[in-house]
Amino acid sequence: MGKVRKLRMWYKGSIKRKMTFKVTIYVSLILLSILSSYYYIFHHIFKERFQVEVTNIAATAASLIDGQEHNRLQTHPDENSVEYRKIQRLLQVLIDNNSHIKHIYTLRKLNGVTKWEYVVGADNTKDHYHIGDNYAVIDQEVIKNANNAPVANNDFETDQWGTFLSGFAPIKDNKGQTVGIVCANITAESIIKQEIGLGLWALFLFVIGLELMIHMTYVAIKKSTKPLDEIVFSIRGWQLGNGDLQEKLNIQTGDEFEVLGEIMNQASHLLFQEKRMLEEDLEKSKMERDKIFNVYRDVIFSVTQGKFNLLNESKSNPISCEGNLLTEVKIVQPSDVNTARVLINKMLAQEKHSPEKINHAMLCISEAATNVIKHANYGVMQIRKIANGIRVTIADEGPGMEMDKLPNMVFLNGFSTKISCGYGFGIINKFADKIYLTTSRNGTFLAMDFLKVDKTA
Amino acid sequence: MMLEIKTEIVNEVATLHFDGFLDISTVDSIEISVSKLIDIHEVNLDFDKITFVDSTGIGTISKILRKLNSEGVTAKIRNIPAGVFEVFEILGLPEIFGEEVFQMKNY
Repeated sequence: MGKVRKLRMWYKGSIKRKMTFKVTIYVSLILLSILSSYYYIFHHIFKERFQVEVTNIAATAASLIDGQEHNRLQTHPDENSVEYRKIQRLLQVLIDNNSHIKHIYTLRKLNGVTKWEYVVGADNTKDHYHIGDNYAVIDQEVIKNANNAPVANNDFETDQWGTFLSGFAPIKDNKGQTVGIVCANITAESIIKQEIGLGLWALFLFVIGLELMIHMTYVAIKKSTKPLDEIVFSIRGWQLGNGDLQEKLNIQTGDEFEVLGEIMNQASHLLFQEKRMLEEDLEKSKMERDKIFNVYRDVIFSVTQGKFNLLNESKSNPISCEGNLLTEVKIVQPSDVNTARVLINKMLAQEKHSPEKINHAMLCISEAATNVIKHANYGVMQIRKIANGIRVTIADEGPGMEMDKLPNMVFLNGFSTKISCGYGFGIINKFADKIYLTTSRNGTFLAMDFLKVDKTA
Repeated sequence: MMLEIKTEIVNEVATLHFDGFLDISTVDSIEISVSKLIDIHEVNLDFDKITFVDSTGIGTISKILRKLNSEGVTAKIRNIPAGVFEVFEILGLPEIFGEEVFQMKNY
């Protein structure tokens, strides 16, 4: 399971890599099958060649041996006889002139049908056998055929001396009668040696062929997937948002990639147009919003006789920084509302505001802080000393108020209206001397001034 | 002590004595106290010792009054301090539930 996943992981990635991987596998299989059949064929050719060679040598020896002399060794089995020496020398010359031949010797049939014995061998066979030794026949059929004409074993045979390919040829007397058989051996080693050489050569061809194929494939794949890389690169640019939608792909391959490139160009062109239209719409709606905001601001400002100031987001800063910061309290949980009230009570009492004024201010702070708890979860209230009174600012990072509900919130008091949220604003509008409000998706900022000098005075 | 509530029941008439303030941190306790009343045909909310009420408090009072009225229970709020009564008036509760329900404190 793990192995499969690992392989698949490796298999992931670029088409280049995938195709190279596949081609490598296919080419390896094809090369291997070609080379193995090549090896099989050459193995047979070799074998046949050695069969012919070993048979020829046996036939040559048989034709050079005098049948009468060979026959005489039957009646006088003497390894020091002239005949024996002569035949042995003859065999030795043949073995000396042919490096593949390992052994060469003569056999003769005993009186039975299937029994054979050694007669003469080349000098190097002396340690193995002597005249009159029993010869163990492995393939009776071949020996039988060798009575008539030279013949070779179909395959290698193994005896106590090793593995050999053997060839046989009949020795005839002057009457044309077969009086013995010459047997020549080629050892398997000399064939295997040649085959190893052949195998190494095949391996060399395999490695070179594979290397060449992979290289050529890689180059070809690289060339044919280049447009794909371009497309991927280009689309990645769009994705990151820093790509230029006006940039065009220039692929001229005359295949599907070129078509794809054109489609991409069309798509990016359309996207660009859409984007521009959206940006224009956005700009327009922003202007509309600004217009509506300005109308609200002006109407609210004049209806409240300059008390309620709706501000653009950027303009709230001077309001929040004016005067000196006296104290600050975080509005996080319901009990913080009372904490804020207690604080403003203390501050206004220090400033010697009237008890009624203090009550009203506490009510305003309670409403503003409660709004933070209900709608924003977290806010910061600051109490600041300004020129002629106290400014309380409350800032949160809540979702902001809906601009079109603001007039209702400010001007409609109480529960007779259906608007359940924001009735606190009516109270704030009634009791604060000056109000600054800015609200957006990023949060709400509210400032309430409680002035020492009565505004009617 | 933010809000303390003592409940007295005499002859199916419940009187709830409040001591403290009524805002977002205390409105739940008043709702719970009222919801515990069973087999009552009249409820008096005594605001004598209420120090402060904001619109959240008023909102809860309004909800309780609506609920009691729908159950056929007579409800009255008595001894409302002047500063608190002002908030009741601003938010128009006497208009909705009737002037007789809200009785100001005599000084």
